[in-house]
Amino acid sequence: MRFFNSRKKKKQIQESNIPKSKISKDIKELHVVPELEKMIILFDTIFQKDFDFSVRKFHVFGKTEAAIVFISSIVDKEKLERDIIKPLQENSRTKDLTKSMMNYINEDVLYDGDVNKTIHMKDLVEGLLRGKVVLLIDGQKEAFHLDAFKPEKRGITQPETERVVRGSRDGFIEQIGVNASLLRYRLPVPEFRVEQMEVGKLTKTKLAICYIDSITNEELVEEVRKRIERIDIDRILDAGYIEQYIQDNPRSPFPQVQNTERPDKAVGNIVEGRVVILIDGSPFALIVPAVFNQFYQTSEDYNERWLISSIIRLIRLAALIFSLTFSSFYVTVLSFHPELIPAQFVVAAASGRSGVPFPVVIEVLIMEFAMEILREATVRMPQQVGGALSIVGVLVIGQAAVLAGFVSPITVVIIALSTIGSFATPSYNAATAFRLLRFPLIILSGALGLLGLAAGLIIVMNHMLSIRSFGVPYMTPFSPLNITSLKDSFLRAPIKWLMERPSQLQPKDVIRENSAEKMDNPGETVNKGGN
Amino acid sequence: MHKHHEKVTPLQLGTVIASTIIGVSILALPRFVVLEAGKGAPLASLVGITLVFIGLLGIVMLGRRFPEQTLIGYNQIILGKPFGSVISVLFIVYMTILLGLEARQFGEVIAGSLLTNTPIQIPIFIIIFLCAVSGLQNVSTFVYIHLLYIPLIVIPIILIIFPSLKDVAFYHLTPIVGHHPSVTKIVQGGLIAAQAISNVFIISMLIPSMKNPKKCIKSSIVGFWIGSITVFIIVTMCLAVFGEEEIKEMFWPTLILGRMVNIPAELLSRVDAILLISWIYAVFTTLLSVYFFVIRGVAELFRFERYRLLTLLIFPVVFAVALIPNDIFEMYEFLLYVTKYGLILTIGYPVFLWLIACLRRKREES
Amino acid sequence: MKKVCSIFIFLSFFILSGCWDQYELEERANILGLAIDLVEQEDIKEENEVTHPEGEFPNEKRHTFYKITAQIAVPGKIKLGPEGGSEGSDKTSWVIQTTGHTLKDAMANLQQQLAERLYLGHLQIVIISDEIAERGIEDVNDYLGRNPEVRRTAWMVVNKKDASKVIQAAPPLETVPSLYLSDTLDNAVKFGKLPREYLGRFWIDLSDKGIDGILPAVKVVDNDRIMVDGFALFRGEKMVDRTTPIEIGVLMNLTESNAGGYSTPVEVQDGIYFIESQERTNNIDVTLKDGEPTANISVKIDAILDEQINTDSLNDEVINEIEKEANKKMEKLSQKLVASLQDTGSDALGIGARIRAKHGGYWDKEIQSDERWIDVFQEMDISITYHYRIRRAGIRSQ
Repeated sequence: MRFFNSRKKKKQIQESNIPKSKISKDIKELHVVPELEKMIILFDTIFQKDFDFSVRKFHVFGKTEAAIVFISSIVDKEKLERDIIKPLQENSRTKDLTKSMMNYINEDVLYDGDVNKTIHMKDLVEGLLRGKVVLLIDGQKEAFHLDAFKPEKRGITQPETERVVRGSRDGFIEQIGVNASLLRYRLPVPEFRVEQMEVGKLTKTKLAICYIDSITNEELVEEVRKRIERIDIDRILDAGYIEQYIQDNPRSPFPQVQNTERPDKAVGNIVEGRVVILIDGSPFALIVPAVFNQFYQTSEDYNERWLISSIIRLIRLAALIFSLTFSSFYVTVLSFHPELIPAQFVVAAASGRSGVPFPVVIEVLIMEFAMEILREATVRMPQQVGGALSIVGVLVIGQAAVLAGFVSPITVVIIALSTIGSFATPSYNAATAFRLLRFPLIILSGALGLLGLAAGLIIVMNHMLSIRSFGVPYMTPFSPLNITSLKDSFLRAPIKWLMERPSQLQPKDVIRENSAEKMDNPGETVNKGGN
Repeated sequence: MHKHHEKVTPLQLGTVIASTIIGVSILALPRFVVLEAGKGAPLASLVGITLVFIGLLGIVMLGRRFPEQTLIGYNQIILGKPFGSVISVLFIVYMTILLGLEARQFGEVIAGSLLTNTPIQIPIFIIIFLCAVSGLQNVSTFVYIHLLYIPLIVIPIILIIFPSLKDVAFYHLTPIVGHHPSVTKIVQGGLIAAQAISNVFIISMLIPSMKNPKKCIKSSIVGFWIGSITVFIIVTMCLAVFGEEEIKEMFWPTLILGRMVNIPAELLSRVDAILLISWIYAVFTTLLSVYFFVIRGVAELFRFERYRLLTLLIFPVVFAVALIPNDIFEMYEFLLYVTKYGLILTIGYPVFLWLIACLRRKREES
Repeated sequence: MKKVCSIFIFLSFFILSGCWDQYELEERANILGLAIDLVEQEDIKEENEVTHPEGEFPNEKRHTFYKITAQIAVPGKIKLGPEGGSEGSDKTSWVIQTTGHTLKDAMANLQQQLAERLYLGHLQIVIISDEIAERGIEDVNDYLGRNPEVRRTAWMVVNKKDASKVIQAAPPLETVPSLYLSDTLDNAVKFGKLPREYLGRFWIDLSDKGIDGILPAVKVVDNDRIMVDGFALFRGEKMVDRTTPIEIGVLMNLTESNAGGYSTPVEVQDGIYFIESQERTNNIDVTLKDGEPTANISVKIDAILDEQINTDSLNDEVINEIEKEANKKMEKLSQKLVASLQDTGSDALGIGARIRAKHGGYWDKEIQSDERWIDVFQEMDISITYHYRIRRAGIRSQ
């Protein structure tokens, strides 16, 4: 019934006005006409009953009729009154009568910074939707559109997903302009490019490709441009949409594009020769190309002394590998090869398991699955409820399960260790990939023991070796080996030693220290190929 | 983009050689060399290594002479099309049989020591399957696999061998020529060692994909010696710990060596499983190389570039070959027989071909 | 997508096809200790017809009946964590006995009686009785060496008479007795009281030419612990003699180089001094003199003084005296041991192997076999020199 009604209503609207689909088509061909009334009616038919569509009529210089058309929800009213309406009404045209009306208004009257003239209706409508104000003056074949955009935005806060102990506290927000400013502020060089693009038929989302002209490989920038241009979609609601369109291997569980909320990290990557993509409406910037090596690093690693950072990175890498293999290794050892562990432990583990009705594989799978559910629940829970409470919940559940004879206590310890191991990875998507790969590994180990585990690991590693991110092999600098980049991989050499940019990115300028000099004559660049 | 980046570098060529050398045979090799040469086993394996080295030099020189051609290609250039093709087919058939038998040997070790109740077809199937799904169509992925695995293979082996130093009895090693010394014994032992590592000639398929094929000599030599010295150390350590008499009583002395090791922290009470994992990696890389040779060879010979389909077609053939021998004794007999005559192809033929190429002054037209 | 599919098929293939080798811990009868005795046929009431119909066992060269006593850890009884350990070991482990013509026959019988699969992966200690050792242990070695589960770091020890007594000894400290027994031996190695002569090394010595194996001999003390009671000396695969515990130390002085843990009392000028060896280096030098092999063993020992009795006059001179006296004493003991080795014809020092290594030509021409070597060994000259050095005397100066 309801369905029927709504359809009927739609039909009425379509009949009463110009058909909706026709509007945008018509606009393309329409031009500004000198009659003010006609223009206002035209705008009325386009925007119909939108509550925030406003028209304000007044007289320019007390004589000529004019109107200002704008969408009130995205326009800075204060600015509109102060910089546009007030000067137009208060001034009277006294000096310089040689100029045309339009030029006079543009050059002498308006205070607004971004003033454009156009005769195309299309520009005006698009401008309106982007928060511009249209100034129509009776008798003129052109119309102004002036910028008075004021979107609702939140303040710059600390990034939620990438907290640091020591490091800057500002994070990207949804507005691309603010984000660009955060980058510009850290990179005051003329070679820094912020190229604008637009994607999404409906959302018309603005993108910015950021790179440094004199450093970043042109082929890479061109490839990014090409891939973004190829995107054919109606909506871009977050950076994730772009990521999925531009990655090399959509079937792989591993992320091939890195995202960050941190401007310092983005700038660090730009300076190394990568390309950063800002997307309007998303507080995440995308970094390409991204290889495995980047996913266990944080921007904080560069802030601490190298020895400490290196150890922390090693721990993170170990935790990542741990979270992938530990539970399957446990299954292998207990079900297939108890000779691997000391006799004392075997005796104890056997005692823990007496009374548990399932094989170890099933036990581990159940616990891992329960852990995943709890983890997912924690992410969705409000912060006040979630957090530490859920971990306690897991432990309580674990405790109860052990007491009930459902799982063995050692299993609980193993599962807890492997889950915590995955939390130590700074990159959420990489950690998830590893966590999910754990399940097939457990099943393989449960079926074939050590052989299954080794075979599973071979499949995972071969897959990682076979994928590329924007042409860069995913396992660089480990394989293909790249000694200079290895200095900034599982270890972080002292900053002084990190003289060269990662050569797998083939930057135009490999040496970091002399890039300032090189900028004066960009023709001479050093290019060193890696292994 | 970055296509020129994906060319094989000399370093990568070296690691392919090293990890191809360290393969299935490292577990059983000490036994067979000792059976022939007794205490002269280390000397014999050096002789064998030198033999293979000569063959490798032949391949490398040929690669330098024909930087754009694989073995299949210059076979035809030097010997003429019909005869060259026959030799190429011989090579491919030999490698296919070798692939099957090595997979079988892998299966025997797994069934004999790790999964005693599992049907032997399972490990054989798995190892061939792993090779088949590893993307043989992409040369750079192939070399990356070797590069990443080589530390995973060599480091655990060294770690196993290092603690067993305290079980070494030096009287197991001398006299280095063995008792009742004779040249035949040493040469026979050497041939056995050569058979185990002779599959290094697969690099003839890689040289044309190199960034600079002329630069392959140094790195292949270094890679070859890294791999061979690992094999040599394994043979020597097994002999030094067990002595010739005890080695003759076991099939896989290296595995038993792993079982003798007690690591101090008692984290794991037996480390032979670690050895086995890295051995599985070693087997994988070796078989991958052989598989690579077969697929590439067939593709080039028959101008049929659909690698995936080829992989799929060759899979059952290899699997069938692996199931031919009835038992472990027959398998080793068969394997030794095949690789013995295979030495003519793998060592003798490249040197011969190079000499002919020099005599006939054949070079690539470029 | 193809790849994902194929991997999925691959995975499901294994899950569906079952797991052949999967035995959960509690499904394994984890044998930690194994005692092997000989029994007379009359003692066995009835033969279990598990591997063969009664009376139809193939003819053996010599008629044997093995009685095996296995100690199995009982999973449910051992508590995890600090609450465990208080219970006596009778409850935490299970000792079962069966008999059979051969070891495999006996194990098959044992398997027939158990719900769980026999598992030897954690076998810590194998105890054989004197009787078996004297008859020859090739059968035992064959079964254990062929089984892929048996670890070569397990111990094999010889007990006088009844081997099953050892496995029934119930130490109050450890929940599983066999673990305590093997710990006793492992730690003895660490303290320098026992050479690293575990199963793997023993087998190597057995197969080597020119060296004979030795095994620790144990005896049960007070029914709850064991004591290393010397060495069982082998000639080939047969035990020929046993030594006293002090002779372990002497033998280790001659062959091993790990830390020495044995102390000796030395009498100098009315005083008795106990010195304990700390570090030793030894060198067995074999030479051929006019076609006859001779051996020269020199031992250097760093020792500390542990105790002085009857006197209170420790000084540099006395120390020198003690060193001289200790050298004399140990030389005498060693000569005695070597003489007895030569008597019994057991080359536990490995002099033959060294001659074989150093003078291969001589060995190949003159000796060739172990039997011939023992004849030569019994006749050869072996000289021994000791060089004691006393480094310190505890934290007392006098």
